[in-house]
Amino acid sequence: MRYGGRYVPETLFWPLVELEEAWRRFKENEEFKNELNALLRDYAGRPTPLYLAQNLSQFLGFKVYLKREDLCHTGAHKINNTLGQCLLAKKMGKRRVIAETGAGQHGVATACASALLGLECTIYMGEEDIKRQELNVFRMELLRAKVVPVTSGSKTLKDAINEALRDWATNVDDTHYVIGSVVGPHPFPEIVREFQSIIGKETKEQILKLEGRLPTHLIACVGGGSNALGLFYPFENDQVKFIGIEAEGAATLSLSGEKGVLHGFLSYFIQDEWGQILETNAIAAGLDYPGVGPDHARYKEEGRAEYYPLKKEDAIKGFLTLSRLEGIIPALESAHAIGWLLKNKRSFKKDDLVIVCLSGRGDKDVELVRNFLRKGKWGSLEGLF
Amino acid sequence: MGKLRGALLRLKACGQKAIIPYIVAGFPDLETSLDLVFELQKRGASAIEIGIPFSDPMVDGPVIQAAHAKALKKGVTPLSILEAIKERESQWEVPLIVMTYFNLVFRMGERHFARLLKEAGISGAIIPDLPPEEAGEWLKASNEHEIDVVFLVAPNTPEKRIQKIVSLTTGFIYYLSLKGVTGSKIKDLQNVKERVKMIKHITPLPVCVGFGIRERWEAESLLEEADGIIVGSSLLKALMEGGPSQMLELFMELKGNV
Repeated sequence: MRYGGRYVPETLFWPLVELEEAWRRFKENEEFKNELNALLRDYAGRPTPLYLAQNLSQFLGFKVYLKREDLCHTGAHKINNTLGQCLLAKKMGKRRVIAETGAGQHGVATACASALLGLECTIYMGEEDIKRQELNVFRMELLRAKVVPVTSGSKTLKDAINEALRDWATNVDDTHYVIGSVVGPHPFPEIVREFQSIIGKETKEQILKLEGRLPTHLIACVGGGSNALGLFYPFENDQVKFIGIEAEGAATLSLSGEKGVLHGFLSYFIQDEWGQILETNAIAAGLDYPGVGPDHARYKEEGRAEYYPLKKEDAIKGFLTLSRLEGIIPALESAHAIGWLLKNKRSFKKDDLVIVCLSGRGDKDVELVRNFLRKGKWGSLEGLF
Repeated sequence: MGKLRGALLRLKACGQKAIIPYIVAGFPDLETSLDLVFELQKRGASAIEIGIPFSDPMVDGPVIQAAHAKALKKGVTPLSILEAIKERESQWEVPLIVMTYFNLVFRMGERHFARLLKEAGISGAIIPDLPPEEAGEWLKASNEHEIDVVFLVAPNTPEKRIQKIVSLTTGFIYYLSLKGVTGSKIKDLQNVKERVKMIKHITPLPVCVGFGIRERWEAESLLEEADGIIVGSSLLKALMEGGPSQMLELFMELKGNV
């Protein structure tokens, strides 16, 4: 099956052809590369550390490194992509960017990059998500972005993407759509993969320097799949196992997805028997997407990567464990990767070398976790350990 | 030649223009929506576009989005809609065109979908999120079951690409009067007419204009160049606000002397 493609209305077809041409030109352009690298270094804080989590390693019985994307500016890997795409937009002569956001991380990262580069910025965000993430809305507004509530459909991320695509079709002459994950019509999945691959490229260099060998396992959470693909892709031809962890309520590849076409690309989607897209229910907003990037669909089909679902409770355990053992509060998204590792530690050997992508920090999630613990059957933190 | 293209070419040959209304199957309910198809036919519609609702109608503005969402809440499915159309087959005299999104077709399989269309007496299909480049299987399937394929041409489609699109179109060319979604406002009517004229130089296929036609004068002006017009959002808005009678009244007004 050929995943990906360009399933878009005619108004967007030619702009995508032009985007692809511009992309081919700029990605080889030295000036562009230098400018982007300088931004990633001085503005976003790259390279991010590859950190040996000693306490966690001891607890699990094998070595675990964390790729610290949580230490990037804005607190997540999203900035790698938004800096790249906003710079590309500027080089293409666009004066305005738009983006969708679920929890607000990609929205904030787009708002930062567009403020920095002097681009007008509009962010589409589902009304439901706005209610859940009021502070992030204000954060984007501080950064000069306009936040537009989306009231159609399920009023969440997938509808925000629909609305962003509608805006793009209307204003395509002067506007670039900064899509937030490795999804969307070609060439978006490739563009985002390239900008996020810096995660894996750095990791490879760092682990060879630190350990003198490649890792045995790479583990990352998967919603649309950008942090996972960014980590995996540079290791595609190496003898390294890829493991993607999905939230049980939005487990496109590991549980409930079927082949389909949405948001301009062919992949797996959570849908009913007629092809109507269904609402998802992940505890981490960044994983709450009914589809997955086409490269992940291909990895799944080729058996190159394995994908597993994780229950909410196990993600919370990952969240709490990393906070307590390492003094690092992870984003709930990344906590899925940690939680899965805790649950499956017996399937690893002592000399395994595991790298987890810590895609974001968890400040945004502390209130949600507090409420979850209060409402939950656990009563107190202590009951867990 | 399929029934849809034939009907439009016959109109063109006698110097007449086509008016093609759009309704959403299942809105306000399946029976009423098909009654409306019948009423529109009685009032002189040249062909009728029947929308099969989708959860994520990317090309549509707020009015049609709302109609899709409400129809889905009523529980209609592609199959229940096509079966209901088939049951009333003896009522249909004008060509019926289905408009829907590709995932519903893909899920059922292109061949199966095309066969069901034919069995229901449908003669054409518009799938706005399926450009010719991705339509290989669909072109084969629709050809096999004699369904006329309608592709879109946008204000920003370059001329060379238009040539490619017309070469694969078997129904008519659906020219988008604007960049954006259904129900938006047409900004430059003159430019639309010039583009239509240019397309008509490239192809003998009928060229119909849709998206954003609200007023009689817009329709009249566009029909100076176009072979037909498609009206959707404004009719559905009237249906939402004033029920079937208001919608049919607006249709008569837009139709004028067509």
